[in-house]
Amino acid sequence: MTRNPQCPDALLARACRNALLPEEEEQLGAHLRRCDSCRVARLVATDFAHVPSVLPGDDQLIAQITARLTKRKRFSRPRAMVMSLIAAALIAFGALAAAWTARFARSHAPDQGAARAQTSAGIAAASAPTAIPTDPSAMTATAENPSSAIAPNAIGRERTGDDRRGHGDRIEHAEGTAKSLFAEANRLRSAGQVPEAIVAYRLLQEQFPHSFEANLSRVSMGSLLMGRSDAEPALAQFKRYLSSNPSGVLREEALFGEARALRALGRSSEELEAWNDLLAAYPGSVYAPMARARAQQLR
Amino acid sequence: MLRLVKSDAVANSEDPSSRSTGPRDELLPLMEALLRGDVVAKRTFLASVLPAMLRVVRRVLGSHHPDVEDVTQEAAVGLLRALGTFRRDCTVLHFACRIAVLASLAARRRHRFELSLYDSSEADVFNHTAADMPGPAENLASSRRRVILRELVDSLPNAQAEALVLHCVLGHSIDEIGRMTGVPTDTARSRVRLAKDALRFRVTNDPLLRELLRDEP
Repeated sequence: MTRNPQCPDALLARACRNALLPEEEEQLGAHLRRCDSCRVARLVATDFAHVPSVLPGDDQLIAQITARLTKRKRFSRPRAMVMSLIAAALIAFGALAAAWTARFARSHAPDQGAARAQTSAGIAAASAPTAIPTDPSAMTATAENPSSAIAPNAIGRERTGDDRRGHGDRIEHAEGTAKSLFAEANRLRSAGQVPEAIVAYRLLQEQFPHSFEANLSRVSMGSLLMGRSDAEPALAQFKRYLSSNPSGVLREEALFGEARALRALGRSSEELEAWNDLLAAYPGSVYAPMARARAQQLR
Repeated sequence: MLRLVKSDAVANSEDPSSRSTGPRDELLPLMEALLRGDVVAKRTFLASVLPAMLRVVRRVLGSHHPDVEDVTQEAAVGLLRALGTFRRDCTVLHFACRIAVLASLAARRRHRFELSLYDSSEADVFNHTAADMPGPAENLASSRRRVILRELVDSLPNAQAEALVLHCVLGHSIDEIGRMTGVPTDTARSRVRLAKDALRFRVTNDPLLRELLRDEP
């Protein structure tokens, strides 16, 4: 028999990730002895597990591709262009209306003071679409960076106490700034300006400690600090990420960083624990061979 | 000082229109900001998914293949274009990896001749030497099996090739493959089964492998 119609594909997939329990390994082993197709598939999967898929210089490569793909014409989407034109038309219409109101007031008002009051009211009314846009997509299209376009209005209304949209704009402003800071820090990091990048990440974490970007930045900053042999603060960064993101997308990298930092600090028992955590959570990780080798040394 | 009161991520998790049923997908808020035209979110999103996509491309083409960068970029462009059609049946990262697989397979088919030269080159064999291989013969056999799989995916129907790579090379389960490719689980299982049979046939009938490992398939 070369193929079993009930091949345990789930076990094969988990075997690829080195995530089988001992009894599952036995179960899969028994199946592989009977099924040629699965045996060959398992063999080939093991072969591919040995292919190095992370190489030195990947950071730069990713930064280059990202830079290329984010460099674009101002209006790459026709919809954005149309919405911008509509926004511009609204503003122009508002300005014309304000001018007309002023002229009308000047020619009909009994005194100059009343005319000035009416002019102010007209301008305020005319500029309302700019101050409180009702269509988010229109706001997006009004500037290269939508967050920066929204922010001044949000701050202005907060100061005057006329915030009809509640916290909404403040949220957008804060997130926009966190994103900008994160992007700037990443740019500095890609450009090799490590001290400046660390300052930017720190600023991000201080100003927006609970933002998505600040969380992500802890792993980047930890790696940068490790590169400068600042193992203690690097460890703090990785630990903070791990504690606040138990299932974060960068958990694998954070665990790896934590183990390296502990190694640099000579805290062997904790280091062993960190390697074990990494292996338990990501048995098929690209760091797994290193983790296994180091864990073996420490045992 | 302005503070985050409620993040996009939280807002999205409360969105009843969201079709994700698994754990919260951290990349969804970024993806949505990107789709709204946020350039900074686009940069962050790419920085988050490109490492995984690069790993996939390397697995399919070979670690040191000269086209790795081009194909990764091509895959990223494809991902950005396809995000608008993303149905949220799987995670954003799985979606990105699937596109990387498709881009790599397409690149292989476009440049089949050059790739076959690369596949059989010494660079691929010796750059993939693993520390835990029992000996040179097994190492060569391992490399040969990778070459066989890569050549096989060039000749298999697209859907089977994709399923084979997702299952055997990237270790995705049948359920995951079904969600990633948008087909019923039974269809995904059938594709994997057919591709595995083809792989078995190629591996067991390869004369070089027979020579290298007389006891192995």
